[in-house]
Amino acid sequence: MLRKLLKAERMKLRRSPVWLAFILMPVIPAVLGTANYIYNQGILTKEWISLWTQHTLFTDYFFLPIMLGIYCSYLMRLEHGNNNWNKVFTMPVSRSSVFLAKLITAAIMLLLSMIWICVLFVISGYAAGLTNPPWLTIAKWCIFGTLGGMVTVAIQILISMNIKSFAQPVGIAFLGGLSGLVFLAKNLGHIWPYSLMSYGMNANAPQKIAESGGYGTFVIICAGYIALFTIIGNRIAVRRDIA
Amino acid sequence: MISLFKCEFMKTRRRYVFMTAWAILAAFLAWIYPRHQSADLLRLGWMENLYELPLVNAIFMPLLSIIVSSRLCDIEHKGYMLKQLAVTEKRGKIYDAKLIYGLAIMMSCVMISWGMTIAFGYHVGYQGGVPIKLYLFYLLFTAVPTISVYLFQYTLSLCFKNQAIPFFVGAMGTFLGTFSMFLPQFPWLRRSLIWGYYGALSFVGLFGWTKENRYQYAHFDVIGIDWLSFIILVFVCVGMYLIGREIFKRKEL
Amino acid sequence: MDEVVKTTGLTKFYRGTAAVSNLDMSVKKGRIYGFLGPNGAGKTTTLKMLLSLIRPTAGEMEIMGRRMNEKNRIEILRVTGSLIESPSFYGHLTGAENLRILQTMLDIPKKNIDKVLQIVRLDHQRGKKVSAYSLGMKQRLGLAGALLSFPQLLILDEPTNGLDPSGIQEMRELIRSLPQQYGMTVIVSSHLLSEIDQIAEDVGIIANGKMMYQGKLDRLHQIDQSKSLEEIFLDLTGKEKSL
Repeated sequence: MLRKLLKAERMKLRRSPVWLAFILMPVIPAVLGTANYIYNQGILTKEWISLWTQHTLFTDYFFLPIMLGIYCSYLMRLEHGNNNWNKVFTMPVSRSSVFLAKLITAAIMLLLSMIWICVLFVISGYAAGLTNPPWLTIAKWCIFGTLGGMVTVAIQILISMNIKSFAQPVGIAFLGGLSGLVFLAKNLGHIWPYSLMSYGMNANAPQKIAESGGYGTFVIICAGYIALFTIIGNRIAVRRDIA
Repeated sequence: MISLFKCEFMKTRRRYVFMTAWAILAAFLAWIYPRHQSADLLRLGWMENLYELPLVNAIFMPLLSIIVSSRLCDIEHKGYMLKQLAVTEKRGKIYDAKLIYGLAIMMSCVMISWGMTIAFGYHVGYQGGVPIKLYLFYLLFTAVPTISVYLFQYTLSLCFKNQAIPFFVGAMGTFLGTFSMFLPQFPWLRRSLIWGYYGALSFVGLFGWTKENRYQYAHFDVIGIDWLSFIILVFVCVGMYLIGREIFKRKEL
Repeated sequence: MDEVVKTTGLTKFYRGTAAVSNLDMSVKKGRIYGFLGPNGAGKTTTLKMLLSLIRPTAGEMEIMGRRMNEKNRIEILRVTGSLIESPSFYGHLTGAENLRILQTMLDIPKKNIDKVLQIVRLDHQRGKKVSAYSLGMKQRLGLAGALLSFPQLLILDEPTNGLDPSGIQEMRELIRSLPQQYGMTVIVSSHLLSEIDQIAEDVGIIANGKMMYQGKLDRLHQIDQSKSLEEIFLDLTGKEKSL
């Protein structure tokens, strides 16, 4: 059932180049962040790690949450228009799988852009004259960033399903990213849903996952949040009157 | 015109446009203010604001513009109201009425954040009085880039039914603008993007900051106002207004 | 199994007011059932309850011998086709692509798409984006979507909306042919008596959420020989209004 729905979601995205934004967006910090790194090598002495901080600054707190917010709003807007909920919910599929298909579609986009961010990172590292990229560390950032980002995706899909406006959920994503920064500064980043992406990516944050060590805890907290928001979303989808 | 303006107000009822804008503004204020604590920063507070806030504005004001303009224009796309409006009123007037309404929201946010900055300075007791002339420049140099960015977003939101487009373009522009502020090596970069003018028009520099002593022996100073950039930006605003209005007039509905 | 749809005491309250109250509906297999009532009488609400888009406040529904509940919902929807309110579609995709999405979710052969496009005479416009369709073409695409699985039960809510006179005539003939050709049972709602008179054999008249008359259309003619059908209809629906 879920496979059919995922295929249908993929078809709906044809001819709408929203994915283009996810390709273009990470290029900005890759180019400009690297330039900034090159000009400030006097202060930024930790090579790959320093370069990573230049790439992820702003990306994590502001732009990635907003991009995810836009993407989730877009996925849900497809259904909010033209009475499409009527059709989707009279298909012989369970309502909760409709919600899950949206969630997975958004999560795939997140994963792909994380991989793309890491690829660009390695390329710009070489371009800046660095050698021996720390592959394992980069893979960790990518994996845990995706996991933390999935919490954001789950909340945003839930919000966008319930708010018909396009802009409002993106505004919430923006505030969410900002709140993520605040909670990280207060050393509560490991439990605040909107902080988890930056925390997992070990971005230029006051609180870092590698230093506090708890990858196990991180996975459990992320899984818990994802499960929580998925259950809430499913329940709302199942009980909703399509009036 | 007045009646069109009233129309805008009626349409946004229960849409919480002002509320959304002010909620984001409140978050913005809550974010930037808790940090002024040390004696050094109290000494430097008034000038430090002028040095730091352009960056914060460069992130906030464009993102707020995207949200406000999309919110106002989406009402029309959803209800297919534009078709009806376009026959009863001149297109150009519709464009103007909506623009003024949106700009009023944006300027209210600029003014509130400006006023709060000064009020906060007095509240925590920055040394000396507020350098009002510099603060008025700062107000001007926050407002005009915001107007230009809003004009851009507004035209995009009105022309594209798919709101993802103005959102992505705007977010990307904001991103570029933010980064351009960290690259004084490329002064043309910030001047070639409307989002970069928060940086291009910032006029305070930090001197004497060291990693060891931080702000202890540091001071801020005016490094000169880039009037050329300002004039360019004003022309860009006028140009964008005329182009946006023309695009909207010619748009097939 | 003589009755395809049977509801008992079907009721829906919205904020304390009854949109549908105590409705007993009975639709016989292989017939065309005209569901008639003025605007706002509760037609769409009733049809949406039959499709489980809306949860009834009280009452039972039995469709094709199965009780409508969470367990049977998917099985019932699998053999039901519907067009509710205005048609659902994704404007950035072509007509054929829209049907492909439905076909994927319905898990039925691809060739059904060509077949229904022919039936609704949209095969020449199949490659055009739906946003460029006229209202009538969108309506026909909506019908194509409803027919796609050649369902046993077809629910059409005001299907002639937005069609020009020749389109209306075409639609009527098409609907009339469905029971013999494909063995479908059809529920058609309308606020126009003349419409129903030309399509349906059985009729249910609803006003203010209550069933005022249900039975053969011919018998309605015989209620009062001195009155025209219009007058009888107005009597039935008007009585309730004055209460």
